[in-house]
Amino acid sequence: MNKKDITNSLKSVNVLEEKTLNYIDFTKVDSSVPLSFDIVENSFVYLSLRGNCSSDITFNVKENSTLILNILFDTQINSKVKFALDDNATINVSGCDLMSSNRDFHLTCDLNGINSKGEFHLACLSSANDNKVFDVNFNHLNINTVSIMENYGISKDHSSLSFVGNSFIQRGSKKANARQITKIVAFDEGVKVKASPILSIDENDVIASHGASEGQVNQDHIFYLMSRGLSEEEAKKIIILGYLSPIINYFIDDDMKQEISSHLDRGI
Amino acid sequence: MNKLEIINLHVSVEDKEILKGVNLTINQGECLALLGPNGHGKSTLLAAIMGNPHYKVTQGKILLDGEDVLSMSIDERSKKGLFLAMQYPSEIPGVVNQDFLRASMNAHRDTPIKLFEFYRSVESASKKVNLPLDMVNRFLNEGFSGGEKKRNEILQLILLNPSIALLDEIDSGLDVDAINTIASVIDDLHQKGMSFLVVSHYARLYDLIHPTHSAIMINGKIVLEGDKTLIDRVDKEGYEFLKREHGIDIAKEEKKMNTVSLGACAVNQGTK
Ligand SMILES: Nc1ncnc2c1ncn2[C@@H]1O[C@H](COP(=O)(O)OP(=O)(O)OP(=O)(O)O)[C@@H](O)[C@H]1O
Ligand SMILES: [Mg+2]
Repeated sequence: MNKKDITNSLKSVNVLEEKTLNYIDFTKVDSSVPLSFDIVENSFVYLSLRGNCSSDITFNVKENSTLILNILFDTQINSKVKFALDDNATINVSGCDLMSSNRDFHLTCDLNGINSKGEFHLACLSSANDNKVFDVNFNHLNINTVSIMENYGISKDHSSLSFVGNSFIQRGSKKANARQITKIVAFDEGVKVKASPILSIDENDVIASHGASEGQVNQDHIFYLMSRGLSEEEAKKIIILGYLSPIINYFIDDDMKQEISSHLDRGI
Repeated sequence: MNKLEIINLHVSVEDKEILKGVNLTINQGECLALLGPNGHGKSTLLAAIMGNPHYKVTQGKILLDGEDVLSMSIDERSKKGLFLAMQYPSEIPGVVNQDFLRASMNAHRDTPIKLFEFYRSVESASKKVNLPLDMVNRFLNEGFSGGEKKRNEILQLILLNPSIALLDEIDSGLDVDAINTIASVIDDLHQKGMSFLVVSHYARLYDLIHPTHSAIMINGKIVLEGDKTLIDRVDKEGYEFLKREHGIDIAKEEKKMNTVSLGACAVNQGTK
């Protein structure tokens, strides 16, 4: 796919082009003005983001269109990202955060249209003294709306890591389907981890589920791997990799895929 | 040489003594069948030999060619040639089977295995245990059927080629064909000089792998040792004859309600 760097033309672009991999590197621009993008009707759009965006970004996802958004958290991103979806619109957002820094990330997705669907996948490593907070909100405001949230996190050293997943289903949003899975592994003694799934449901005819777990590395897993000759370090590493590396499959940009996988290989 | 000696081994789980002085020796090339009723400590013995941290050795020795196994880390034990096929192999999500297999093979070599050689070995081992090759692309044991997990254990046994293999109910959950397949792998490796400590409840497996010795564990002790005929006897009669002929009580020693320890527990919590 054609990669199109729109970093330097952000002021003039507000419709994202189809069939190209749109790319914004916020490390290269100072974005203090709020940004807003339209995904026009019946289009299929890719966008990769990296770097720090200090202002809010809004995506208006029009009827029958799809937005695939990849976010590589490689600086101190503290942005707010918002989505408004029309009928039959879909977003699929994936984030990978292996960088040691603080993080305060907010995502809000309004599923306004019938059959609109939002997905969020995250793999996150929190290390050193990082304090990372992810706050993800899906608002089901129409019938047949679907939201899927999958968060995988590892917290090491003295870091903290918290996921707040909020699924709200408004009255009248029949057949809405909201799912959340959050798994955080507390790798060292000194970490603080928290998974807070919140389902607020104002309608009966819905499917909603959440699974949240915060736990230590499974000792039986470590024993199994070590009994095959892996050192404790290697065993832990392969377990962490197993936790975080599936996110690579959600990334479109080959360079980013490569970057994530080499970061995982060298850095844990 | 490859001699495993277990001397007066006492093992506790969560402060409950499970093994109460086990003595056993497995010499190079031997295949020892370990029998015993449910819950009498067979898996505990195997787990303790491999170094499972749940099981605390409170007394006794384990020696591998005279070397102190108890002071070795789990991975060192593996590198020294011990292998445990587990009764309940762990499912490890996210860890791709072949990445794990390669890492464990590399742990037993000085230079990393070449990709081509790795695939060739895995392909040949998969054939031997009759496991579809694409299972190596799945997550380790995740969603594997009971029998597939056991085959995957034997696949690892073939690839790691230890000197002493501890097999814990490797035949449970296997269909008849699979038992034959697995048994012929074991028999083959045994012929090539690998030593075995095999726990099973079924004579069917033992008939196929030709143990050189047998032993019966009751209440955390080896109470009787013998040859293949002992296995056949247990298969036909169960364990009752132990009591009749040898005066060995096979009832499990139940721990009585222990008010003292309950009290101690309450005090501990109170002082937290
Ligand atoms: N992790 C554990 N936590 C608590 N108790 C345990 C644990 N492992 C073993 N035990 C107890 O130790 C005793 C011996 O168990 P073990 O698994 O060694 O028996 P086994 O002889 O292998 O039995 P089976 O033939 O049923 O596999 C049992 O009473 C069991 O409940
Ligand atoms: Mg057992």
